[in-house]
Amino acid sequence: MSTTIGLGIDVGGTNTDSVLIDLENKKILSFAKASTTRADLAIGIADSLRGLDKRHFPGIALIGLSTTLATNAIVEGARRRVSAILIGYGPDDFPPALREDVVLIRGGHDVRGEERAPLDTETLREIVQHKKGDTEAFAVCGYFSVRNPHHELRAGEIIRQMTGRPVVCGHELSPKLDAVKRATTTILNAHLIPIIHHLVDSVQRVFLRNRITAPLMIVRGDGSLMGMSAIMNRPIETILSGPAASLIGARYLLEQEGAVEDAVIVDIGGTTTDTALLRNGSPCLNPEGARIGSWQTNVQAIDIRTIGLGGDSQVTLDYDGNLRVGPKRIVPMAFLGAEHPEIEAELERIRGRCDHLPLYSAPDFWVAWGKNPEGHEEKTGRRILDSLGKGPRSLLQLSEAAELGMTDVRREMARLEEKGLVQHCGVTPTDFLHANGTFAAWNRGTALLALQILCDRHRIALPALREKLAEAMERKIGLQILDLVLAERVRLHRNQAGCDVCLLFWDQCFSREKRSDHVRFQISLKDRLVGIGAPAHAFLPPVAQKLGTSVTVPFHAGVANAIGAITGAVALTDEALIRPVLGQFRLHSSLGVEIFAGLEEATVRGRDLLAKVIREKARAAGAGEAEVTLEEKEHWATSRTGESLFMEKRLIARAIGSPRLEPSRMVPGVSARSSDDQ
Amino acid sequence: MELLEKISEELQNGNFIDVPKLTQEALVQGISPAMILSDALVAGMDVVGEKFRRDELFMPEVLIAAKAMQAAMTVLRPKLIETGVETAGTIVIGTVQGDLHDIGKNLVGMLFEGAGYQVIDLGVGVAPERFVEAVRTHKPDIVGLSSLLTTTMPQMREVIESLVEAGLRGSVKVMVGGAPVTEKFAQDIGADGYSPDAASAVEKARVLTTR
Repeated sequence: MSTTIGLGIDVGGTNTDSVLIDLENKKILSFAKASTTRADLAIGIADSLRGLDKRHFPGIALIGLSTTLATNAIVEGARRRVSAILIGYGPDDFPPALREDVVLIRGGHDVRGEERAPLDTETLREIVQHKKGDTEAFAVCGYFSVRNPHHELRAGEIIRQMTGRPVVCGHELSPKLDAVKRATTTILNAHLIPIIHHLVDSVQRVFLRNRITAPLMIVRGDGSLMGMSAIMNRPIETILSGPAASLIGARYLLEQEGAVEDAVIVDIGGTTTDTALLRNGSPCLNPEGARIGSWQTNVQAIDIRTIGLGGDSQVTLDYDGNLRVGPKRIVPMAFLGAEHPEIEAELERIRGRCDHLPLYSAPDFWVAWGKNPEGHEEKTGRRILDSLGKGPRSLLQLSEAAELGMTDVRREMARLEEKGLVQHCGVTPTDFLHANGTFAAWNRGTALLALQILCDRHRIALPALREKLAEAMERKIGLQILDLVLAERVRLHRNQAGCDVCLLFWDQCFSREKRSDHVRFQISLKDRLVGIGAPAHAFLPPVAQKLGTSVTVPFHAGVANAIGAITGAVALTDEALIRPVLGQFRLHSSLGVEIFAGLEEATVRGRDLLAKVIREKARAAGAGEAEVTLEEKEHWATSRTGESLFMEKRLIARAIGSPRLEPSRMVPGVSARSSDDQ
Repeated sequence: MELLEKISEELQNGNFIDVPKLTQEALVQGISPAMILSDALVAGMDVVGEKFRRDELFMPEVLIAAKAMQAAMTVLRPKLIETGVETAGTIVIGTVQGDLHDIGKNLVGMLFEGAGYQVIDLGVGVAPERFVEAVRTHKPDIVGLSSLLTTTMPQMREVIESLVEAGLRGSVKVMVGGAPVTEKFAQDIGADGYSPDAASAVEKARVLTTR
């Protein structure tokens, strides 16, 4: 029996997918899907594991996890008790929204790595003494600390001595300039530390209950894997973990079919469509650093574009018959019909009366969601919630129950949705796919009925409606892909309202109805499209055709994300910089600043230092044998008069290694009993 | 208009005695300050710049014309402020740390002023921190860095890096110039623009700020 099995788990927004892969023989052994349980992710993970073939569990030697936990926590504004010590910073050097956590201390360096002011250790000690009882994690950031980490290191030492709490410094998270991004990143990282601790704890318990003792690694935003100690210190590196895992998974699947060079990966999910690039087989990273919500960090993560368009996006038609998809996400009618077949009667009733419905009304239903708060709602809300207590209700039914006009009911429902008390259900692309037989998971009859209502109301035949949806999807996805591929050169205008030639171009390329019979525009994309996500099969091929390229939807694309969670490698980089100073050479590294008389001396020292540090880091991050490569870039400038100037020498070390596998400690031959499962 | 043409001509001749007098006369005649600026002074400097580019004029002649312009601006500036002429933008200029040359920088300053910019001149030997402070305070559209020594060229990179560290790099366009500086050097250090002489600097600035 194989002892090199990897368990990959992707905890996404909707689904928690898991997969078992024989890492040595590159075979997918088993996979399962379950619903993600937002309140406690471990439950969804346990559910997902239940769907896997348990016979392989004793062979699991590694667990890889990708999760949107970090991204969600930040976007949703989850705040913990954090103290951020900013050294040598001014009041404008960090985002005002983080003001609460921040304490400014004198110190810091300049662009050359020289001290601007001595580190005020006295004030530091006072502050730490004052805050230590109330702080879960410390963030320390120094001005120009990436040119000289000395003050950060010293402050970190003091804090650790005095409190024993986790302390993470700015220069540990990124070697890049920009003190504002550094502060943002380091402070948000501190907020995530307790959150990730909690996740890892509860998740480890699920694994133990399933008698899986393999080491746990988490996917970073650049697709690489990171081990426990690194995760606990630098959880911010897991932002965009989910999309990165999809990208790595897609690459893995493509590799099974041959070498991978360049491709555009398109992941069409329930709510969003994400696009990212593979170049020379590697994910393209965002050079500005990852942006989450309104925060700009310096975390190295994949350059991914996201639009609010997915299988469960709301489909509406306006007065002019223009079809819109998304960005709102609702429950598909097909799904509602599968859970509550009785709504078919109501749909028939609506169809009979559809001429009396407002034009903007696709068949809309709502279901009660979560706990029903007692006494919080006034009359209208109360009546609606009571009515919903008996099952899903249409807009018409709610209007009758509340004795209100449909417009007012809509407004009320929007309010209740925002409070999380109700869920909106309606027509989505998933319903179209059920209607034409592509999907068969849920209730086709309900889907068809709902679409028919839409057709009747807008006096359009079903084939024509299908065309409208296809065109809307293709156009949005097609433009997203072009935006990504052209990003280095051009910024596509968001609203396309500017240029008539552009509008003509888009219409000729994407519209069913051409504006001119005399001119044909054709796009020819060099990269092929790779589709993952259930709706990819249906919607991507026409997009590929319009873009003049081919499309691949790999087998197992449905669990590409979970596959990516376990097939990435441990990959780290570290940098050192040599700059001239008054006839000598200054070496800047994560250990500090050293001065040398000669460039060669400085280079030798830099190489040694980097190689040592990166090997240690790779080992600590969970790599087995790491391959270390060193890149050296020397920059000389020439003046107008031909004089040569030494500007700098940059040393970049890269370590890549497969994760260390640890075969199970469980006694072989003893299989997990099903009653052990939780 | 005859008077404006005369001002322009005398400016081109470097007549720094008569040009301010004629400017004053134009004001007395009721010609708007904005019109004097654009149709006489800037027009005159444009010709000077063009001739200099074609090697029909030499640096000393350019400098004297600039001196005449400066004299006229002393008269005109208060009137411009009074009538609230819209500035084309704000530019912070300075010679980098360790460098005391200022002729080129001063010329650039005058030409930008002539083109309707508000000019904040930090002087010579300006440390990176002072450039950063000036950007923070004045929120300029452009920062112009001047260096006339090969040995101080790397200072330009330090200014740019200091702007990055301060989180201000994206808020300005950085232009560099000076005898030893080249286009390639400008690109290599991450500047937004380079111009070989003061006259083309204004044009380059316009291009950079309209995108």
